[in-house]
Amino acid sequence: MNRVGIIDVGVGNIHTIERMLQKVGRFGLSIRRPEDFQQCDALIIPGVGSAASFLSKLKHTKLDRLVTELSESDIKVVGICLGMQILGGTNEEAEGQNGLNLIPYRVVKNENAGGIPSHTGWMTLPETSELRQQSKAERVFFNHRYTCVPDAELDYEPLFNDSNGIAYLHYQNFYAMQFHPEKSQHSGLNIMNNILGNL
Amino acid sequence: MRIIAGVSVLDNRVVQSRRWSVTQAVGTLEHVLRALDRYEVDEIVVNNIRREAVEVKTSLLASIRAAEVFTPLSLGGGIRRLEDFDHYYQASPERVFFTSALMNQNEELLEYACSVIGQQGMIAFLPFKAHQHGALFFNPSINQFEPLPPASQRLIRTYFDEVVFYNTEAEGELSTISAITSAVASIAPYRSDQNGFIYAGGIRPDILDALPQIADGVIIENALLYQEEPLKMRQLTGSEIV
Repeated sequence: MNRVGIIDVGVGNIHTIERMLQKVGRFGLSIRRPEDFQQCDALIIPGVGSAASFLSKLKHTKLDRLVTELSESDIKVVGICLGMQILGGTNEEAEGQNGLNLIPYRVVKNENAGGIPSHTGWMTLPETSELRQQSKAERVFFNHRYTCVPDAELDYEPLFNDSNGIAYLHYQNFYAMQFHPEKSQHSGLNIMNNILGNL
Repeated sequence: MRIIAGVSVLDNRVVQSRRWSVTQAVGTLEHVLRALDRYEVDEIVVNNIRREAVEVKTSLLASIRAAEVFTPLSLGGGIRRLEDFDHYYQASPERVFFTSALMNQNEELLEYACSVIGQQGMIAFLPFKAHQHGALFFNPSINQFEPLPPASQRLIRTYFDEVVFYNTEAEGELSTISAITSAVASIAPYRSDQNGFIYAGGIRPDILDALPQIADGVIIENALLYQEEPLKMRQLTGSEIV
């Protein structure tokens, strides 16, 4: 069974991520320090909490370095919601801290991207989207007040949601998703199974 | 509109309640959560009615974990101290809701919770009853309805994502559309563009198709959610069993 590391700095929905991994036949391993990752085949950065608190704890535990080092590898890294946002650059929520600058997008308030302040609810994935076609997922659940917007002309093609932010992006070895697969019922499980399928 | 299942819990049993009074137990929390998750309702709100006793909350959290739901879950009831919040947060809820801390302007607690879970995870849960001059809101600390203090309204805008307006007089009833729109009008002065708006109380599944877009979401409370009701939820949401 593949081992999937889950960043655990005391914030974030660790248990639901663990259950999701069990459901798709993987074993979730809590990563509290970089050495914990040695036996793992992929990494998940979970996504409930506030950016400032999460980034501070990530730096304190030196797990920010682990994620940065993985960007030089082909190991899959999945960022969920806040876990997606901290992979970007400037961040309006993070009280002066920047993200890890690993994917060229920035994090802004929903309304600064032209969306509504609180984006909570389900989005039906477009039938033509790669995400839907590859994973057979139908709908995904969002809950966020900040969103990722591309920095400039990019060599990737994200899927946008109806708050004008990036809903999903496959960028190099990163799988960044603003929605919560662990709360998206069978669609979320399908997406995760599809991503982790080729470990 | 999101269709949200409301579940009230007393001593780890899901209970029906009507007009803000518990009437009967309808099953274990784990069983009910599993059923709602299987039928893929849009979201689940679990309200712990028991306001004290850490051991009760511990068994509640154990039931939630055992149910293994993959549906967005909001959790609350009786959060008055930092420790209460930390305790609930261990269940990995998508969101946590507050009543007492808001009505009593416990800003230290709200600021702490917001820093941990993020504003998108903060829900203001406001039980209310319509009043000739607007609405009165339930304050659990004094067990009374009272006007919503302006300071509490500021806290909602500062720390909260969505507000649940829970019509206690309609709870467990089968409201008409005109009664619902009238109740929604009574709370209009307390709504803000900065916060999402969830309405609860007397919403029954068979009027959802005819109900206008009164809110971002509506809660169908537990009185309507036992036994075969999840089947109706499934028909309404169009979801299939996994």
